[in-house]
Amino acid sequence: MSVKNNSVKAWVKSGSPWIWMNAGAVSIAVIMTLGLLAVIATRGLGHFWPADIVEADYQVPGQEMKVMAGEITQIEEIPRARLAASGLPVAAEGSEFMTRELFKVGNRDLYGADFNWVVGEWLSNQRTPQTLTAFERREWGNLYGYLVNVKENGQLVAEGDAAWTALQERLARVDELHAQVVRLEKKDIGRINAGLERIRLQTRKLELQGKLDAQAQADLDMDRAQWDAEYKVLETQLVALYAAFNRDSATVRTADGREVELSLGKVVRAYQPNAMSTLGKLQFYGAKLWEFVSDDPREANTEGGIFPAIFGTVMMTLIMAVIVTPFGVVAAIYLREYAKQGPLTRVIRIAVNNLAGVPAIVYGVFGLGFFVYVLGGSIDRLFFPESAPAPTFGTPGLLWASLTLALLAVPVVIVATEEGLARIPRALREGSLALGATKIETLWRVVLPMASPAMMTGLILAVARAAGEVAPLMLVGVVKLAPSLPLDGNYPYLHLDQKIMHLGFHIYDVGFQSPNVEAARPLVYATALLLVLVIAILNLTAVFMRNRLREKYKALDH
Amino acid sequence: MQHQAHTHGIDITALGRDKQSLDLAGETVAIQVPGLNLYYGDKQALFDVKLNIPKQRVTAFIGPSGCGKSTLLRTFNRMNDLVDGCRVEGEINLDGRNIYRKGEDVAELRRRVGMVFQKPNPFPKSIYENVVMACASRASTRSACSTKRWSGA
Repeated sequence: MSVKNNSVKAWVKSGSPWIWMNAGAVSIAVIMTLGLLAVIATRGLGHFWPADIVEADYQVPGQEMKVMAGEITQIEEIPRARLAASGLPVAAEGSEFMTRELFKVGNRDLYGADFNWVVGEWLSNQRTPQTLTAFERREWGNLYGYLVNVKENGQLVAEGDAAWTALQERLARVDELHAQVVRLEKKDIGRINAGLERIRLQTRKLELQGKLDAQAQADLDMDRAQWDAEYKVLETQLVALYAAFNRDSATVRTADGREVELSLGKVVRAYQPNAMSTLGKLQFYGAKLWEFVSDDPREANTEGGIFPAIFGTVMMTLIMAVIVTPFGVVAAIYLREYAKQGPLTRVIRIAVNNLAGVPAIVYGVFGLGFFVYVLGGSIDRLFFPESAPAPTFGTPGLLWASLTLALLAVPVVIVATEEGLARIPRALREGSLALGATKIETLWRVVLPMASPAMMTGLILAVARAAGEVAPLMLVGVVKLAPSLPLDGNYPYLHLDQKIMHLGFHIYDVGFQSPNVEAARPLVYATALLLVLVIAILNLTAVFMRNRLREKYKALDH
Repeated sequence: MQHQAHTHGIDITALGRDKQSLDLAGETVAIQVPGLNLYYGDKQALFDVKLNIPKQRVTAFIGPSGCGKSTLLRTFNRMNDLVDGCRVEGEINLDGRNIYRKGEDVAELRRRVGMVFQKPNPFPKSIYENVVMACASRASTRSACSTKRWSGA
């Protein structure tokens, strides 16, 4: 007994419990991180898997039986009393808990709502017919039903078993046409619009300067006529494309027997999940994932892809990094190398450290008041008087959003760079100075290269801090839906005055401002996963660069 | 093999046993210190130092630790300027010119007065870059630096 006590006491004395406690804390942190990733991954990525469509007979006691078809997205147990209290004709005796299932019946234009809660016990004869098809549409969500026939210009082309192959062929054609239409509208007509806008601004500028004489007016009119002529050509092309687009249609019979005419131009894809093999489902899943990261959003951000949000987030983070690094590094160099280390420098350092503690939304308000209204307004008055009263820079946009986030991240960069500069041994500085280098040469040639890993650390922390902020962005430049990307083929190519979409704001918008919460919920998780991935990739790139720099500039006496 | 190595400035033969009698009065003076006081804040470190360092000779400072040898040495190329609160009263004349006068180009002084440190402190760069570090600062780099290639670096 005493031997056991001794060994326990010795173990406690040796400090092992503390080591175990530390290891336990680290493990908990790692498990929490992995758990977070697992939760958002499963709930988000599961959304893209083509689930089976179930057809069942639904019999509410006292009403007619109806046939329902759709995906069962959620099953939960619910007390019988609660169901009874909500007005459903639930039998008084029986088990205490009943099941409730969330049926995604789609067909929002027919039924009004595409998600329905049904009582599990009243569903009978659940079957998964092979030919039950899901049609993903550009508007009004999914349509579930049976394909009856395919028509071209109102004439019957295929029906029965042949209809499916005909449908897929025509859908491929419609896809190609849709891509052409989008390219025409966005790129080509966009270019013409940009050109016409330039002419309009030029006219106004000359007007304001009083230089609009007959000759200038004639020149501008000629330019405008050129653009109009180009537009006419494109317009005829577009009309032809639209006519071809709307040529085909399909008749679909829904589960309750109604027949609907579906124009194929409105369909994104049609698939029969009950008939798909696992390989087929995997291919479908891959296609949906790719669509998620590369496509534009549809249906008030509840369907489609989030590419503009990814692009906006990355663009804004890069511009912020480009702005914050020089300012932070120069400020840190001044504070550490040039400023006399007296009370004033101490006060400045305290102020910088406190900047890091200011809540992010306060930065947003400051950005709105100072950057947008004061700076942006002045820029508009000075450089863009011809656009008045429509603001160019005097309105939230990409530039002001990046600047606001740069302000948020500057204290982090300053602190990290100062740390790096302080670590450089005096001997190296003195060695360089003793050779006759001036202070600036010493800084540039010896000190800064050795401090570059620390500067990269500052940059990593800045990116991590700023890429996750959403609140300030809502005030200074992020919108629910931006019509175009800030980087395109029209001069000046990088449009710093445009509003952007952002992944963090997208999560908020889809989760809370969406008209169709049930449809949107899996997308919230998927977008959150993507945001984590984007930031992780940015950080890993910076870490990789930092490790290379560390190896290069390792001091030799360490 | 020790043939007459082409070294600059040091007359090796002067170190022979028979040349022990050094006549300081007959030497040309390189650095002349008429009377130097140095303070670190309020604490005085060098008390009225007067000496003349002869040209092309090896002069050694010997003394107990903490007596101010390094401090005096560092005054010769103004490295003490890097220490906060270090104040020098007096002058040091290098080839007749006071290096502590106002308007002295300190970087140029340090290029003329070289310093070898007690502990080696190579820069974390290639050997070649370490060797040419000094002349890389100046405009006339290429031809001067190329002569350093013979070091094999």
